[in-house]
Order: sequence, then structure tokens, then C-alpha cells
Amino acid sequence: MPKGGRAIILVVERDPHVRDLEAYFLNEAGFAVEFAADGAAALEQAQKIRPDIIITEVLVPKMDGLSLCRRIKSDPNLLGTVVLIFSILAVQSRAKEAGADAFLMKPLAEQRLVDTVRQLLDTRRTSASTGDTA
Amino acid sequence: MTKDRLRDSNERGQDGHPRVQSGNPQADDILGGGFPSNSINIVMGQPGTGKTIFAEQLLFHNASSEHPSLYVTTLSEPLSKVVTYVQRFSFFDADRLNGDIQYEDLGSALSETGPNALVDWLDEAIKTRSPSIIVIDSFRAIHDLAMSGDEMRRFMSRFAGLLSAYNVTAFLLGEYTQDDIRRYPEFAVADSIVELARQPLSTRDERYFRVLKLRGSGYREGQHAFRITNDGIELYPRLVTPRVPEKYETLGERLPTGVPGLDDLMDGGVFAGSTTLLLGMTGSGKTTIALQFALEGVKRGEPAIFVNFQENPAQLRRAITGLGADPDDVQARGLKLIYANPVELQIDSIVGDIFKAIESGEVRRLVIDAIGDIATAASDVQRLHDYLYSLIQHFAVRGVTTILTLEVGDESLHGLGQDPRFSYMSDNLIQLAWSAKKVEKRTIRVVKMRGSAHEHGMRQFEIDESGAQVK
Repeated sequence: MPKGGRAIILVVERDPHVRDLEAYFLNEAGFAVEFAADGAAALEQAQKIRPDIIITEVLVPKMDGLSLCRRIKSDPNLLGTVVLIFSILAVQSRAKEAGADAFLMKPLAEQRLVDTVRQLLDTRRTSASTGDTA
Repeated sequence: MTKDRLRDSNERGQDGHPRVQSGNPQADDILGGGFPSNSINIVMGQPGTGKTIFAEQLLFHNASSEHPSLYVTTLSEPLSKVVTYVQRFSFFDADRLNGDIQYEDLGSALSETGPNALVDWLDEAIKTRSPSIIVIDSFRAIHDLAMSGDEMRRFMSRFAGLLSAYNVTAFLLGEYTQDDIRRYPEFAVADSIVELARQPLSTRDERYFRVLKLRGSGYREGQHAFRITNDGIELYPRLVTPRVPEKYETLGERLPTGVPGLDDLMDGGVFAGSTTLLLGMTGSGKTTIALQFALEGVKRGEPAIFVNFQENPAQLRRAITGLGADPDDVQARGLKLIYANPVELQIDSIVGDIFKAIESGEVRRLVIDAIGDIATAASDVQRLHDYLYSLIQHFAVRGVTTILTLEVGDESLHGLGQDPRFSYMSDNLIQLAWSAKKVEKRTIRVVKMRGSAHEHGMRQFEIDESGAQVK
């Protein structure tokens, strides 16, 4: 859901340094960034703000990033929400099984992150215009 | 390597994980492929050991305009000195300054606002300059800013947290001592620790590179010699005993020694790939026999290396001419002469040169005349033996047939008794002796020859204008 015309990204991350850098680079790239420090809070916030993309670490308290992804993908109210797993763990195949749209391994490299987000938004836009929300 | 390739993790170590190469292939070899990418690394060593040169070489190797490398000086290393001296090295390229390579002096900021000035600078640099490599010189000097232990831990937590969050590889240089490893928190967070050391000897210094820690990866342990040249650090990785490759098998072929009559004493000649220790007093004929062995190789189309520490190239050419060969001709046909002045000799560099020559060419025969000179130059005799043992194993695996000469003080084997390890390293042992009491008399005896029914008795031999020959 655009916020002032900008795509909204919900970042689920407990490392303050990663959170700060993600916010900085995504803001610089023109996105609106919201935060959640754990999986449960992220699910609640997602239902409230309807973000365009959720970027989540796997290792977050209360509900891990993969469980969060499954819950998002099975929630009919959040259909079309893109999930990007951005983790220190090499869990590419588990992320795919959980329904994630993309996986990136840490550490943060700003160009890679911003390019991936833009690509995911483009794909989402194309899918929406063709009526494909899967 | 461009920065993009680095950041996309295309350079990988032996374990498949992304690595940052040092710009020095030998150092990368010791490190199992390079430093781990996105890591904190400590380069420690006393002043003058080469830390700055090592870091600069790494910086110039990795930097790109898109993702520059940053070199930050703190309190102990004036930036002007760093930049002044780096210009003397061949890897320096003035066109890359302020673009690919950016220098910065944080000395004043640190003095005014304390260590957090470094974290604030780092945060700003990451956000605005996308660096891939950051060198901090000296990081140890941060401890001089009189912080409490608690403040230092908080500072380190911020500093290390920020570095870990972002795709950057940091090198913290410092004049650390061994005691500092237990004292300072940066050693706990470091992913790798390498040490550069300088050990003064009587007429020269020996420099060593050593890996003390490398998370999640194997590396070559021990001290690796290096020297500083115009090209930067030149490293000689310590030889380790080779794993015997599957195709390795003991060679049954016997090679003629080139000394008339000697092959008859040796059951037909020396085995290909074997090592022979040629023992004798000064003037007993060791160099002549060893030279005949090398020249015989050339005659048979077996390229040979003759390593010599006593006769300079002109003297050796005369010795070759004395044996009836043309020095230029035999060198063109595969004889390589390596001369090293024993005063300047650093064992690792000469052994490194021999090893490189053997790896790159089709060398079949090798002479080292004399290993006693290497022993004299070695600061650590145990290390020398380990080194020679490994070297001989490499020769055997590659099928290089070797003669080592060793000068002893008298006709007995007592000289060898001072160092019996030279004997067990060798497959064959030949003893030469001579006396000039009434008439000059030379003798030769095959003391040991593994796997052969050799003659045990002492035989006379002569050296005349055609060389040495057994009577």
C-alpha cells in the first residue's frame, strides 16, 4: 500500500545495526520503511499497515521469519504481500518451501538489496495487472 | 579482481566460502584462499615488521571506484608518512587515490571526541561510500584514549556490530604483543589474526608471517619467511611434507652417476627419485662428483639444477670447463645454476626458489652443494631439518634424483654424528676421504644404499683432467 506514493516495506530485524542500515538504504532508494523487532509483532503490524514487502530475518523472537512467512502467505487479507527472507542463515530452500518470494544472504550489500526489492515490486505489479496473485 | 566480484562473493576459498584476496598469492595460499569476506581481521606486529605494506598491497589489489577501499590512520601513524612511503612500491598507482583508494586521518577527531569518533566515521562511511575494505592503522592506539574497560567493551560492541552488519572486510593493524591477545577485546571478535615478526640475527634479520587464528577455515600453520621488495611482501610458505599422490610409486629405474666406476659400487646406479648424501672433508671431491652427476643428466636429456653456496658463477663455469664441458652449451641444454651467497642466505627464499624451479620445469636431477651452508644460515636447526625433510619428500614424489653434499671435519663419520638427521633423510650415503701423508690418496665408500646390494668396502678414486673416477 503506497505511503505518500512510496511503497511500504516492513523490516523485521532485531540487530540494531542491520536495522539502521536497511532503513537508511531503503529510504534513500525511495521506500517507506516500518519496523518490527519480532515475528508476532510483525504479523500484527502487517495486518494493520498492509506493507508491499516484508523483509525478515529468520532469527527473530516470538515467531521466526519462516513461520511468519507461512502465516503471511496463508492469510487471505494479505494476499499479494511479497516476502523477502534476508538472513544470516543459508536457508534458501527452506525459505522457498515457506513460500518466500526471494532469499538474500547477509551481510547487507545495499545495491543487491535495493535491486532485489525493486525487482520484486515490479513482478508484483505485473502479476496484479494480469490478475495473478499467487 | 574487481570490487563487484568481491562483493558478489565470486572469490572463494578452499572451503567454498567467499574470500578477500591479499594481493599476495602466497599469503592467500597460507590462508586457504584469502581472508574471510565480511570479517574483522587483525594484522599484528611490532613497528617496522611490514604491517602497513601488507595492508596497502591488499588495498590496491581489491579497490574499485564503485566500492573503494578506505585507509584510516588514528593516533600513532601519521597519514603523511603512510602516503609518502607507499609511493615507493610498484603496486602504488597515484591515479587511484581519492577514488578507488581513499586515505583519511582521524587523529584529531579521536583526540577531541574519543573512540566513538571512529564508530561515527564508520557509520557515515558505510552509508555514503559503499566501501568494501577498511584498514584502520593503528587500532591498538585506540586503547591509548584512556577508556575504562566497560567503555571499551561498549565501543567494541558498536564497532564490531556495525562492521558485521554490512558487507565490508576490516583490517585492524596494531603494534600488539602476545600479551595483548588475552587483554584486548578486539581479539575475541576477530575472525582472523595474522602476525608479522622480525627476528634479528647477527648480520641480518629474518622476517616471518604467521596465522594465529582463522575462523571456520584451515590454514598453513607455523612461521613463513618473507622479505620486503619493491613489489611489496614476498612470502615463502613453509614447506610441509606432501601428501603422496595416488599416482606416486617408487621408481625402479637406476640412473648413472656420471662418475666412472661408481655405478658398479652402487648396484648399477642411484634409483630415480632417491636422495644421496655425499659426505667428505674439504677438498675431497664432493663438488666434482656432484657436478659430474648433474652434467651426466644433461647428457642424457635429464634437466638438472645445481645449487651452490660457495663457488660463485665464474668459479663454477671454470669447474664445468675443467670437466670438459662448455658452460654455455650445458646451460642451454638444461643445466640451471643457482648461486646464493651464504652470508645473505635466507633458507626459505633459496628453498622457495629451488621448489619453484622444480614445480615449473621438467627437472630430473638436483644437487645442493652444500647443505651445511644452509644449516649455518638457519636460525632454527630443527626447522631446517623439517624443511629439508619436506623438500626431499617433494623431490621423491616428483621423481627428482638428488645429491646433497655435506662437509665434515675428518675421515670418520663423526662429523655426521653431530647431525645424524641428515643421514636418515637420505636413501644413499657416500663417504669420501683423502690423505696427503706420503702420496695423495683418495678413497670412496658407499656406506648405505636403501634397497640395493651395494659394495661395502673402501675403494680408491682419482680426480684428473676428466673428473673423478673410481679405480
